[in-house]
Amino acid sequence: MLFLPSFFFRWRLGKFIVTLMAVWLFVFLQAALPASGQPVSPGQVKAAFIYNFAKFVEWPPGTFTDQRAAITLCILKDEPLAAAVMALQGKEVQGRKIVVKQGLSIEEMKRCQIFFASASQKPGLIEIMRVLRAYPILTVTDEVDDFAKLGVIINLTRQEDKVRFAICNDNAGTCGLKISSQLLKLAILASR
Amino acid sequence: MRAKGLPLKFSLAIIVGLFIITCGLERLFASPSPADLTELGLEELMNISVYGASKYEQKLLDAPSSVTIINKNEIKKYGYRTLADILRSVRGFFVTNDRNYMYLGVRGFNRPGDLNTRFLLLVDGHRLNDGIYDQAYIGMDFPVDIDLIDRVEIIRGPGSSLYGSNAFFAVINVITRSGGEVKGLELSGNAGSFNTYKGRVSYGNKWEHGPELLVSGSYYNSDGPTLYFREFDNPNTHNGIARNCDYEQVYNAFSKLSFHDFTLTGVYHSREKGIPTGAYGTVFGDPRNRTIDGWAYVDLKYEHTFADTWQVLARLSYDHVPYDGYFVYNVDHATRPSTIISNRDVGRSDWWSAELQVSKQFFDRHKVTFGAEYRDYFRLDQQNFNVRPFESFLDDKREAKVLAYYLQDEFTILKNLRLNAGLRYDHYDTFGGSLNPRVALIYNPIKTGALKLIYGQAFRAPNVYERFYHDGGVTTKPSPDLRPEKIYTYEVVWEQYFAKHYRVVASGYYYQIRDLITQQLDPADGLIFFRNADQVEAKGVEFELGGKWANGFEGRISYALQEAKNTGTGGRLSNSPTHLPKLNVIIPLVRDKLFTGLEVLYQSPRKTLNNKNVGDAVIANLTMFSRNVIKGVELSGSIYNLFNQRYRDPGAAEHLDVGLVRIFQDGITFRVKLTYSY
Repeated sequence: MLFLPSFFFRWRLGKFIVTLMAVWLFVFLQAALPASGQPVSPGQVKAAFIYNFAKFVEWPPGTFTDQRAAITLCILKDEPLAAAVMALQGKEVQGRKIVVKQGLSIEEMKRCQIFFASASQKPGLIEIMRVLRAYPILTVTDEVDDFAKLGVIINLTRQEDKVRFAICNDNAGTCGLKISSQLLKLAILASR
Repeated sequence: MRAKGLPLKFSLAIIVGLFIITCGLERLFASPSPADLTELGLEELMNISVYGASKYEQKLLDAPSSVTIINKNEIKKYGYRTLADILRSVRGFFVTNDRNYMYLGVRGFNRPGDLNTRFLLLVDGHRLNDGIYDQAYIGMDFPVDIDLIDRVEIIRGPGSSLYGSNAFFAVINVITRSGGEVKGLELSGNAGSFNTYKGRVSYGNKWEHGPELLVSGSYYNSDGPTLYFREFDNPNTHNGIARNCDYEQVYNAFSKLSFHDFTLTGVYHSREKGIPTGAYGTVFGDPRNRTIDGWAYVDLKYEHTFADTWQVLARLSYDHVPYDGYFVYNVDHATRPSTIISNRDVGRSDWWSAELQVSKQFFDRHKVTFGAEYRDYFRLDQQNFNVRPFESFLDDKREAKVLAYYLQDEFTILKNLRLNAGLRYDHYDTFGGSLNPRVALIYNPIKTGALKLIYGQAFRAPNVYERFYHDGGVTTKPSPDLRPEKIYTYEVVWEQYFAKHYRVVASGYYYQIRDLITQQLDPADGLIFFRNADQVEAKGVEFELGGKWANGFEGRISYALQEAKNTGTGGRLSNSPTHLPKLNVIIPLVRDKLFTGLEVLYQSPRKTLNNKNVGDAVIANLTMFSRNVIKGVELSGSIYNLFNQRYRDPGAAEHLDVGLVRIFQDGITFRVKLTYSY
């Protein structure tokens, strides 16, 4: 017999179970109570990072047709963070509006200025980057460990509970993008 | 003698109080997050905490076993001091301490006298079971400073199909922090009960286009408590009082340099520990009884992905493991008073190892891994001698070579059905080969859940300590005819993430062990020796519910029910608790700044080697952890064994031999820790 009912009346186990139930109950209550600060989803934070990156990047001359032309941000069709990235629609950076486009073909994406993809896009990402790495596009990925090898410029990553980013400046140089030293200073630097 | 723990009412009051404080502080101090995060600058964004299933957790569903990961965040917030502290908090694991070494148990197994030989311990993939004793160090004797750990991956079940010997019950892979993450200088110091002090200096950096470096050194010293042993309570043995005998001193150096695809790691470690128990019949209460365990290794690793699909890992390493035991004995004479004699026990193992592993993805459906490993133990020396007058009892020199090949395929049969099959052949020049397969079928009925059916075999080769060690017939004798022991396992695991915050794991297993190598006391001559004595059967179920919330709460509640039986005698194994419920919670008191970590661990009674019992125990540990109240400063205070539970662990044959059946563990203890990084 593995279960002995009398066992559960033992003093120490009883104490353990009561403590355990009490603590667990409180944790559940706590979690259920509305906290004063709204929880922040990783997607929102990551989108805010992408927005900030755009401030510190210089595209090669001729990228934009005129002074007011929009910055196009592309994401793939089944991008899990699409909702958060879509919220950047219409925000202004470097005096230009951001336009988010989802589900473009590779050919169409060549004309984007920013491209973002999560790790879950990895299988297709290798193919896409083979094309896009040659164009002046700020490519950003999320949690893609070997991003530098794929030709991606910036990768978002989580360390403990904070978002960090790694930059492969070689990849930026190859496609003609200039990244400000202010941004590089905060980044984890990666090489191909 | 047993002091009662805190009354139930009192412990409840503490928890209720804690809850009230929690609610209050959370509301008082929590800073509201801005509605639009794009208004924040990069540096502010980098300080925002995000929660959710980490990238490692998602991979857990794909693993061909049940895996638990403890990260450095939890290590800090629960106030873990050693790898043993980490492991004992994990579902199904328990730790025994004989006040010389720590011993790890899982699934009902923790054989007294076994030096953690049935767990494979890895640091960044480098094997850390030594050449003579197969010993895995998990206490302060673990060769890497706990503050340098990024995470610990605990992979349950047999791993011999990939890793060979020792991967019998579980593989524990410790992954160290990277220089880029440490980024700068880190100074840390802590102080605790029994005059315990520790200091550490670390520096890490990653240069653009260049190398990544982590160097660290630390020193630890503890006077240890004065202990009372009823078993030695007579005027000839200090009335059972061992003073200045439980001390511990540790030196530690670690360096890791990465450049492109190469990583070079160097580790030096030494630990000296007093033996307060009079084990092996040594003079009780004499502080000269001690062991010094060291480890030094250099490991060069190369990792590269060719043409996006070929992954190559190569490793070349050298390990040097010295062990020195200092034992003081009384020698009785017929005509004059007894004199004292100093006995030395020495172990020296040195080995080279090389490993090559190649993985390739075929047709999107197969990921095949092939590997070969070679270990050349060119020095396995054991000595035992009396110092003055010199008398040698053991001077044993051995060598051993192991060559192994392995193959593993991850076959995606359907989009939600995968087969993970592996096979490894190990050849020992001493006793031939061992072939170990593992097959796991992983089915994902929904994206967030996995059902795993696992069959696996594993082995452990008898080591030269078990085969050839003896001290000239004083307490031990050799056992040269040992054969490898073998385990056959069947396991079903169900893992599920649900409602955003929760993860649930349930598993059931059945283990069969043939020819288990067991330390025994020969009744004919009273000597300790090893034998392929036992056929063992173990079965059990484990359950875990974990949760993680956006405001920083996280926790897990787990329960393991296990029964390990000797099929020959029908009796339950010694040191095998039936019930292991555990609770771990981290509660944020002030968002991102102040946390409390609480764990409550219970272990049910266990049998000792001579069929007596040790009682059950509730061990509660409480830590308050704060960070960035002053920029770059982390401060924590911990209370271990909060209920001051006076509990004991079963001793091994060397303790039983001197009448010590149970070994007392520490009551309530404290620690404060300060870390500054810039």
